[in-house]
Amino acid sequence: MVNKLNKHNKRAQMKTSFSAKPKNRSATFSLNAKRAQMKIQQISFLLIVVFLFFALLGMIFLSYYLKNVKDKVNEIEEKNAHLLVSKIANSPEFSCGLAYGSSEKTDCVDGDKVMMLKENINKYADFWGIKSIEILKIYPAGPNRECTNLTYPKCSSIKLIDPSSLGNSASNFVALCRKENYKGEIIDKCELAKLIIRYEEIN
Amino acid sequence: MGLKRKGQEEIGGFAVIIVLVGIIFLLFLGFVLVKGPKEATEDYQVKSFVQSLMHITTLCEQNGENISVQELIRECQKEADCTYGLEACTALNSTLSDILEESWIVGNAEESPIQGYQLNITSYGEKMVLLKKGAITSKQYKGSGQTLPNEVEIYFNVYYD
Repeated sequence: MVNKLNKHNKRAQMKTSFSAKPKNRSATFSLNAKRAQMKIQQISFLLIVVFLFFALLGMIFLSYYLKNVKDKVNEIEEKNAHLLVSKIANSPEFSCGLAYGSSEKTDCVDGDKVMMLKENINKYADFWGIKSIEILKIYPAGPNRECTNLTYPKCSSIKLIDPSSLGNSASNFVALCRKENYKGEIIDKCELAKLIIRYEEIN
Repeated sequence: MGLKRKGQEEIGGFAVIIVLVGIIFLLFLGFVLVKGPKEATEDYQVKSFVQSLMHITTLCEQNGENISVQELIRECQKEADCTYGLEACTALNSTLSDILEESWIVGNAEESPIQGYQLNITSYGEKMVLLKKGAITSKQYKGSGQTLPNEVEIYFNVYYD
């Protein structure tokens, strides 16, 4: 009888253990699923971080590259402006030519010629493609006033093409020469001046 | 045991990513910071100053005419005098000094980018005129040289901040 009971108990135990197995499986499955989800989350988070990092890097690089391009453009503009100042100083409208000696002088501007040009400057408004041209006397220091037909040569600056305009400027030293009547004789007189031009800056 | 191994693998992977990102960042930084050699810019202003300077009419009179700086240098080389007894070299020194004073404003970094200048004129390798002002030790400078007949050499340097 006891044996029978034992056998019955064992069967019952086996039954319960058999019925408990599917419960454990589903628990393991849900645990694995959770882990996989976590893993996917981790990877997606990592991907987002890496993507953001590279996007930031790209943006920094792009802004740096664009700034470099802009700097280069301004540098070239400045170089061109310097070349233009030299070109203007040595152009037929400004240069001394052979009027002040047997050989042609570089960076020499004929003041008398420039005063004549000032009167007809409207014809040259777009000729050089710049905003303004100004010749500023440096040595010897003269009276601080603009040169007109009345004040020339006792003045300090000859303003050509819209001198009030703003913008980047470039300048070169020039010898500003003119013919002068001295004790009944025509003599050459050269003074030190700065030829200043203004041009548009690229923003 | 398995969990520990998995954790180690993850840390290893993370370290690899960090190292990779670090290398990329360093490469980028290197690219940004290391610039190519800067183009040597010719200084038009200094060059044009020296060229224009030679044509300026001075107060030194000879044969009823005011002579130019270039002619005055030649007269100074000959140790000649101007009409009114003024020595050519004295006239040259004072004229050049005045011109430099008016043309190049030397000041501290806030006032002017020009820290100093030096004008050196030599004749047959010997000093004829030496004018300097401000700090001429600055590493950044722009200069120009010109050679005149009779082995006269003119060197002019402008020192920037």
